[in-house]
Amino acid sequence: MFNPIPRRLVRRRITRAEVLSGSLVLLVLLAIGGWIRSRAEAYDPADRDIAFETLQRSSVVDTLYRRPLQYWREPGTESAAVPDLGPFPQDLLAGGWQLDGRVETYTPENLYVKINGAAEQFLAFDFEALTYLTLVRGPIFLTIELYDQARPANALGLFARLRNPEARVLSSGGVHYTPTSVGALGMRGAIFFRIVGSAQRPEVEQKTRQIIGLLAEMARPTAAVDEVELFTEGLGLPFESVAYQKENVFQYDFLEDFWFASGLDSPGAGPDARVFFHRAASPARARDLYRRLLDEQLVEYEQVEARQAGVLLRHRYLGTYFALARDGARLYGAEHVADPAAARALLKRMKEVSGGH
Amino acid sequence: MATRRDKPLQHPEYDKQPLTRRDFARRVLGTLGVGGAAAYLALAPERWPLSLRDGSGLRSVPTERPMRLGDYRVAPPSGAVEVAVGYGSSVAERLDKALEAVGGLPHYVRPGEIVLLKPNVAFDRSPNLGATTSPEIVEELVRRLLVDCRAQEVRVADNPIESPADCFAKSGVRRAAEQAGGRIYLPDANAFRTLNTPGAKLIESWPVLYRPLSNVDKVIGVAPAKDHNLCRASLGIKNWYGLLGGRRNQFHQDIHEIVSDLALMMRPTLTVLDGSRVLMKNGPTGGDPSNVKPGHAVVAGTDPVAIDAWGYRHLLERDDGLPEYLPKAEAKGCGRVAAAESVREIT
Repeated sequence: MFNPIPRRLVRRRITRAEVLSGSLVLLVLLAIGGWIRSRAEAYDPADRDIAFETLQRSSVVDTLYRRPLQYWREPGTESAAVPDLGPFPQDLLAGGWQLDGRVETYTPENLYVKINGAAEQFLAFDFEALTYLTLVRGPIFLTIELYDQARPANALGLFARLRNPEARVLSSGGVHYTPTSVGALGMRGAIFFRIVGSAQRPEVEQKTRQIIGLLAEMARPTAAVDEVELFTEGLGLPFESVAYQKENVFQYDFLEDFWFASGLDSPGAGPDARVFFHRAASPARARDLYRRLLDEQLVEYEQVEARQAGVLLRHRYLGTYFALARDGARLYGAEHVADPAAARALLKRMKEVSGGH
Repeated sequence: MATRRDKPLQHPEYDKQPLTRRDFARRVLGTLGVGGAAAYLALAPERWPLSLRDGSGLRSVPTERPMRLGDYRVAPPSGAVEVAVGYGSSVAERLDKALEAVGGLPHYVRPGEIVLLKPNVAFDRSPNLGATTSPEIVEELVRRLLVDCRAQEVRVADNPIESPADCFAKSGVRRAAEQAGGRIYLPDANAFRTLNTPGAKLIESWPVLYRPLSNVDKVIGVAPAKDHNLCRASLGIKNWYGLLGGRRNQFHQDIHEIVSDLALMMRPTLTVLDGSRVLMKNGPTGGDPSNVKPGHAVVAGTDPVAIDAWGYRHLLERDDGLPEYLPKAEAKGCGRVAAAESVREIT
């Protein structure tokens, strides 16, 4: 500030060489600045990429579930490290299979992370948790998905929706499943499961069978599904004929939680006939549902008869019969029946078998 | 005794300028003025005019400028059709026929260009389940782009939410793309930028996997044909969902709107629909090979709406009316449903 010679040009003469070199330096600096600016958006994206291997290592570890601490073991007493297989015993790894990564768990809040776009169909059936693990053996891998659907009815509803309707349902130790060419899908209690291998190979088939065996042995208690027994034991129908509809039954939003069975062998019932069953919260609630369902059905059906045993309706255009009855808190009936006598017989049969349910 | 100076104190080429009292006073005042102004800017409360104070730190948070995607479309050459279907016993044969009918791949991709190939690698499923783009068609396309079109680089990218590396590995797409010479781009947290899509209802401003899109000249979507639990079909347009970031699952509440927005967001050079393995039901994840129908068709073209309409009717074999997103996409000017009637089929 107190410099008597200010920073301004006070020289009387500047050589040409100085002018030229100064201008050159200035031009070079301007060119460098321009180049940097032009390259700001023209970078090679790979320079900012993270290595594939790094992502592969970190992407599986970065899950929302953290394993609890392990129990203390005295030094020298620990055996070889055993992987955490979630609900499965170590036998799962028999036959040279290894756990790939770790057991992953998902909740309703983050299920979309695993199956974005498909999560909604599980959430619609009261999904609670997914346990997901991958087994590998050489180039083959096999994934196991266990969906906890809170109630056996939900697992069955999903199973009926997702399985191939033409495939046979096998049962073993409380596990109901449909084998596929690379695994199986099925249910045990409230668990809906899916086993998917990467190739159609004997070892995949063998491992699938073993997993189904392990699922049957799993200690988790499962409540018996009375409604399934109603159809399988009461009416003698196969398991695969039973279906569960959680909501929007008969396309009415006030009807929920209905069970259906098809494949009836009653004479005159026809190939499309189905019987149904619903247990309401109280007799009063059942009475209300009965009345509302009847009112709605009378838009498309005409009443043929109304007795103590129930009502019989005939579709105005299709000519098929719909039978409906109520007994205490239970609603039951039959739909798409070809013959009125068969409808009456089905209603009577349903009354007999649902008495104890 | 005083010594005698041989040279003057001041170089003779410089003017001597002593500091006067007036100059001194002016400089002191100037210095105080500049210092006071700087102190005001730095210390004055934030609501005062011109204040630069940043007590909360919010002023210094960088603001991102939304970017826009280019229009990657190229008109088909004269004599070529907008959409064509190639049938054959191998993927290469189907692809050849379909691409030839729309003008040939070299018409769309010039030597030296950078191309993004966007397959559907949404799930860690093996290719036989039909939930992901088949690796065979990815390999064929990458090879043709590099060899026939002499592209500078072919990038292969998708954004599966869960474990992208696993999804690329188990679907076989990584191996296929790398074998053919393509470069895999996996998403990470820094690979996204906010994209501005004028006219889009739900994603007018939304984070998109941008890194593989930077500096690309052409974009080609290659999608499987599959059933979808929510929007009835996942075909060429739905494939662009894989570029979205953020909490995109919320869009499932209005799935048809978002899919039609995707058609607006991305104007690809070409859309290729792979009908080699069609997931007929239980999509989009599948899980049972009995749900997969082997096919012998590949659809290629420049009208994504027509391609989806054709794929819905002929690959998924549905005659229950088109998914709602197709008329919506048409209304947004992304293609013509009616063009599906004039698709050229080459057997």
